[in-house]
Amino acid sequence: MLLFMLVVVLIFFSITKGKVLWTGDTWNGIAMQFPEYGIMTLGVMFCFITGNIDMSFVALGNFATIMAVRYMAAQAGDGASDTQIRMAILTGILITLVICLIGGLINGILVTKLGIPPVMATIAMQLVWQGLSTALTQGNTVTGLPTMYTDIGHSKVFGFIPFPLFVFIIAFIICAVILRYTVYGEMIYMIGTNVKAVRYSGINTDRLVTITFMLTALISGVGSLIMVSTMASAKADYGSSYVMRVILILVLAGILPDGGMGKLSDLLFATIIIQIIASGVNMFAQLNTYYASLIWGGMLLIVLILSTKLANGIFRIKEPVHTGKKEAEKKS
Amino acid sequence: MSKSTWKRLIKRTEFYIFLVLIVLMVGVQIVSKGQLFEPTTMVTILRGMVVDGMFALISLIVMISGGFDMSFPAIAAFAYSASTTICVNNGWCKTNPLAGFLLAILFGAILGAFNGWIIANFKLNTMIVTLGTQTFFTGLTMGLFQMKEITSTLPASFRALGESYFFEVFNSQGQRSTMTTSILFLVIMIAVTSFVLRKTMFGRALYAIGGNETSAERAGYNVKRTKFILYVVVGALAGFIGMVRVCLARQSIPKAMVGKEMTIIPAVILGGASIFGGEGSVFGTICAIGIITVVSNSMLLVGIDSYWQDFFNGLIILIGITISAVQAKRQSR
Repeated sequence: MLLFMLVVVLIFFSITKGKVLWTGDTWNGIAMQFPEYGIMTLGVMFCFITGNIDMSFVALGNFATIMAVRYMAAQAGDGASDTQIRMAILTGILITLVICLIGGLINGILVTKLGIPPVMATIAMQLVWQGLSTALTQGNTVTGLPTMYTDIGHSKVFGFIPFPLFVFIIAFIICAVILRYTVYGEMIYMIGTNVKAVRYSGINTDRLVTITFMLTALISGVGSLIMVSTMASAKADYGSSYVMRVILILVLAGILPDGGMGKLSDLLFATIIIQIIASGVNMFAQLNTYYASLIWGGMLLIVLILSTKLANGIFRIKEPVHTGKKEAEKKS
Repeated sequence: MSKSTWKRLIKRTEFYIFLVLIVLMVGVQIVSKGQLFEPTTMVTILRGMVVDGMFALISLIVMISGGFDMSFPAIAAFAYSASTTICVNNGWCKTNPLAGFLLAILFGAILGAFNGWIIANFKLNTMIVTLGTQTFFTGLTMGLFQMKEITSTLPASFRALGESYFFEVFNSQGQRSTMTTSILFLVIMIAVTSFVLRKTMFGRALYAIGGNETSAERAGYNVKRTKFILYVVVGALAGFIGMVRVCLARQSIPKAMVGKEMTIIPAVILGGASIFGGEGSVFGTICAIGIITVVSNSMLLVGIDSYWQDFFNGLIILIGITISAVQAKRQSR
């Protein structure tokens, strides 16, 4: 289904803007842009598979990167040697990831130990992180990032793969391995399907869910790090549209927050579809970027509606979407 | 109050929220050295509660039915932008704002019907659906129709309505504040919502559907029709509230509503509504909005940098939902 959509979208933009679409520049742009939120999507996917949702990943990532950039700017000022800059960058990255892990841990505790529904817990944490970021930066952009960082971010691995895309590929492979070849990977699908059953079979679901929240925060923190390199700075309100975009991509890919489902290949297709629409819309000078929102929203709704009517097979959707009641109604 | 009534009372979340509100107000009053209960501050707080309070009420009725409407800010934005644009282009509403309001309500109802049709007919997660419709509606407002900001050409009657007031008050430093007439809208909506929720079949249906949809259907409620009507009403009201905001702010800015659902929905939950549906009250919701508004306004009074505002808002909501969740856990034992 998604492959079909991808082909349709490509054909549409090829017919209308073929000359612009199939240039190195366009695809370079696409390859540079989608990894940012693509990596975040990979992270949030783990959350969705367990049946939880995380709305705080962007705000957490912003806070973490703000702290990191501040540190790096302070350490790698004028006159710092190359090794010093390198150390500062590595430490900065570490700072980001550690803060993200802590944020994920907090999310996990709120949801498992305090019993707060994940939607509410993470919306509240989003406000908290955003508030902290705004308060600490007074709303200003945090600059002073060492040029080495942005240089690496804009470099090409093996000569032609843009660095962000390279990171995305690595992350994708790691996620695939986790999901397919680890016990953890198998467990989270089970938790998403029926958490009570898993708990009764003696597995510590609280710990697994908390680990999942930490993993989500960690992976999406990597996405924030890429974003910092693109923007050459950190700010409290960067990536604010990414929360909805990530959820859109996941739902489009059939990975619903109800849990228990998720195919990585679908995620990849969905991400690329979303990005091509965004880039494609950009190619039409008379359409502003909000046209992309129009198309995304419309597509999401169509996909959601279709998922209820289509029988299983084309869409691996869980039962709640087409209940026995509907089939019974159809018969009567 | 008899002992059993008291016991019942303290089990409800609304009691605690009300308590928090009182404690908060007393606390702020003390720390700000008496500035909170100045007439001007109280009037400003009430003014701030008008729009947010009304939005919270429409979110409340959706949440009681077990749903989430994330799209109401986008509906409001489209409705008031479209209505204002049309009024300006046609030179309407120079003296009477009614046409503008009717247009906004109409647009809101249409968009609400779009929501309602999808939600009533397909068993889908309402949060995801309204997320999709929110993106779609925003795409309409900013993309397809490219609505513009309207400030200086705002129809005169809108401005007049926004500036009209019942009385003016002065504080001890001689500063002046006015009690806007729009507070009447909030009061009426509180009264009507309370009445509908408690005394009409429609209100009962909402609670029933939110509690257990299958049972409600078996008990004879027309779930599809109720849901559809609900979302149409919510859309229409969203449009209305958007217009009120345009009048109060004296500008029509399409982007002004972005992210509103993220602050209103947590507040409604703070006020005792359950995200699973079937629970919630007007009193709790208004108390919660009161808490949020008091906190926002008292930052400056207490001497806290306004940049910390978001953080404290988030913290309060976090504490509130923690209490709510822990209480729910305790009750279910």
